[in-house]
Amino acid sequence: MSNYYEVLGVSPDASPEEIKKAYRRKAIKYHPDKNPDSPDAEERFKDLSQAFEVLSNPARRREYDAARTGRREGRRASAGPRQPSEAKSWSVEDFLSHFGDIFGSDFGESFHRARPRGRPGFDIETSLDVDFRVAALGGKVRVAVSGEASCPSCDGRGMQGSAAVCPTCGGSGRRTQRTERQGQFYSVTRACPTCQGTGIAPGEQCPACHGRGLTERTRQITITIPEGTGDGTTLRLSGQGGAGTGGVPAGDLLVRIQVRPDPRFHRKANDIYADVSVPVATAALGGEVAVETLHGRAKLKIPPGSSSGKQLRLKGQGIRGGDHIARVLVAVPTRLSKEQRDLFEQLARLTSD
Amino acid sequence: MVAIDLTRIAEEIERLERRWASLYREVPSAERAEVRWTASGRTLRWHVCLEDVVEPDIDVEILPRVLVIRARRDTHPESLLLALLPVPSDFDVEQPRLYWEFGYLEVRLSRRSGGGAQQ
Repeated sequence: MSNYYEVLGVSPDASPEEIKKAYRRKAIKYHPDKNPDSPDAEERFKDLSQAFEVLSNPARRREYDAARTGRREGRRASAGPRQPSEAKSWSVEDFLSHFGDIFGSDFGESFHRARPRGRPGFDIETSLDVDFRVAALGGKVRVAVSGEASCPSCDGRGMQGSAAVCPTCGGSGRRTQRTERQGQFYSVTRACPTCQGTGIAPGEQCPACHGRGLTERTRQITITIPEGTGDGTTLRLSGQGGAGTGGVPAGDLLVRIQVRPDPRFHRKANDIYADVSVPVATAALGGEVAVETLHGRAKLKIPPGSSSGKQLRLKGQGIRGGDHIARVLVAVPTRLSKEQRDLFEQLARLTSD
Repeated sequence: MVAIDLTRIAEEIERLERRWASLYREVPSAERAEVRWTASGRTLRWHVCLEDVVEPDIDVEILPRVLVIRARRDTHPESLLLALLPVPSDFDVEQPRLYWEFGYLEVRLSRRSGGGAQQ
């Protein structure tokens, strides 16, 4: 009698898991279907099956261990293992199905958690006009979005009535096939062909959605515009697109932002440019004027002798810490009173001297 | 010679990966396998590094626009290696071709006829 532990390549104190694992590896390697021209492989496979049959059964393993230990101690073994009955004639498919049962936690179905099947929703693209100020400082905008949504009549199932379990897949929504390629084994799991992965037996179509599980709907959603959003930016709202079927995630909503220009402001990166009208006397003598910034009204100091085109900076009044840059436009009065005219004439004489 | 819009494929793969990321959380103890992709002609190739998977019984689950690869390491049977392989819409997820060599699984996916990633 050969040493079953040696046949499987494990130590005598190997755990049941280790025994299973060792058997799995060697059985695949020496399976007769994989080695059709090797009598040696067939013998090895029989030995493996015999060893596993004994060592995988706790009672028979104890019996075997007792016999083995007894023999080592010079006593005659009183009880030997029984001969395996069927292991020789398994096909690969039989073997694998048996194998799957034995090693359930390692294979195929057990990998998969029950999860709804279907198809992911489509992405929806839309454009949105946003005020300059909202784009610059951020804000919330409500928008109507049209697209596919889960059918409320059938709850997205596409069928009428109560849900019966698919007879083909037993409700798992999957069909697993084992394939062998280049000597390696693959379990390939696809959606069940009968229920298309829903796990629900096909029934009568829902009249509201004609079996699609989806209906076209317009809904209002609130979009948060991040601070500093530029013209042409596309925002992606995950899961706000078209609904998926069978509980599979919805698509994304892609919102292309079009920023409405503001006649008062012009943006360059995070700085805001704006013109400020300064009375001629203030421009000449210096002073303070009120300016409109994105954040509200602010006072701007005009240094004496400021000409048109001079740029004055208000720190931190732009976007995300950027500046507000005011371009001075000296405002010359178009209609002068007599007194103003006299003063300007006096000024003109003084400057020409 | 067919040109492939790699940027578009990369963007779609990234997006699908985000969308299916919850699958990584189904088995919290699972380890993410290293994956890389290449695309040329009409084929998208995913290269999955299944380190220490000596005699693999690899599980390939086909979901809409994503393949889920699972395998156990021979050295650490309790450790599950998991890889998500997003499949852009113009490639056929239903017919993956699998090749195994030296700890690498290569998954080839063909472009559907009339697929639109060409420039």
